[in-house]
Amino acid sequence: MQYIQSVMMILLLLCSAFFFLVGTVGLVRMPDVFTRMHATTKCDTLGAGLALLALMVNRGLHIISVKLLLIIIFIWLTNPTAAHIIAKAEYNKQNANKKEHSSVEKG
Amino acid sequence: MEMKKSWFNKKNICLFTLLLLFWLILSPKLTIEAILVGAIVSSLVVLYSHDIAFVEKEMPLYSLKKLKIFIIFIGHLLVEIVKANIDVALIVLKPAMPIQPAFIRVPMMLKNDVNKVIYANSVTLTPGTLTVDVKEDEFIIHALTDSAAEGMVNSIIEQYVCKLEGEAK
Repeated sequence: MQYIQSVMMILLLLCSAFFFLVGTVGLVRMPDVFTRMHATTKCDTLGAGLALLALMVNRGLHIISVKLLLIIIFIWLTNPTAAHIIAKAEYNKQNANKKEHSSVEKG
Repeated sequence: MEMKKSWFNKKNICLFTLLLLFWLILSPKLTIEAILVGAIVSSLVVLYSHDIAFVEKEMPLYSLKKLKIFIIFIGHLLVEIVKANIDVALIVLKPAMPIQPAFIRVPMMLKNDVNKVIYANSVTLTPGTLTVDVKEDEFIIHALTDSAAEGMVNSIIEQYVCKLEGEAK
């Protein structure tokens, strides 16, 4: 049992580290603000989520696991909001004629 | 309007119970002091925010049927997030980096503010799409690739949020 728990934790932490790495690489490689936001939102959603999930596996059924779950929920609630504010600021800064949109038909 | 009576309505009691539960989860030990302080703080918060929390026109959202749809929606959303994450990770790691960034307008299909927030946040949570602005009649969404942009047409998120909205009428 201990063994399975450790293996699961190691796998989750490795995945989490991988997504943080990819997010950081994306932050450096992407050309502009919006595409960089795409890379960084990934960091927080799966990177932080999987790291906290690994801690939950470590604790098992315990009140601390519930607290960790709450942390995940709050990160996932606040992260898009912050991303939205940054993107909106950049969008409103650009010239009106530079914006090109393609529309989606109402489904 | 009788103010005395309105303090003990369903809405305030729900909010109080939720806050107290949250306090008890966060408190390190379940002692009488913890419960007492939690009860006092929760009632203060209820007093302070009774007019902005659980507004009347949002009330149709909070029903058991909605909760069931919402839980299924969260399950689908998690799958979508994992799939999209792997897609974006592959794009970032490819040496050529095949991105076609574009803005998309999605016509507004929702009326309720809470549903708009749920939709916008879900779209941002799935990598590859990012909500830039919410206007009166449309969402402006930034997509990283063409396939992400095409995915916004009648997406799973949209279907479920419409379901949440639909039965509220």
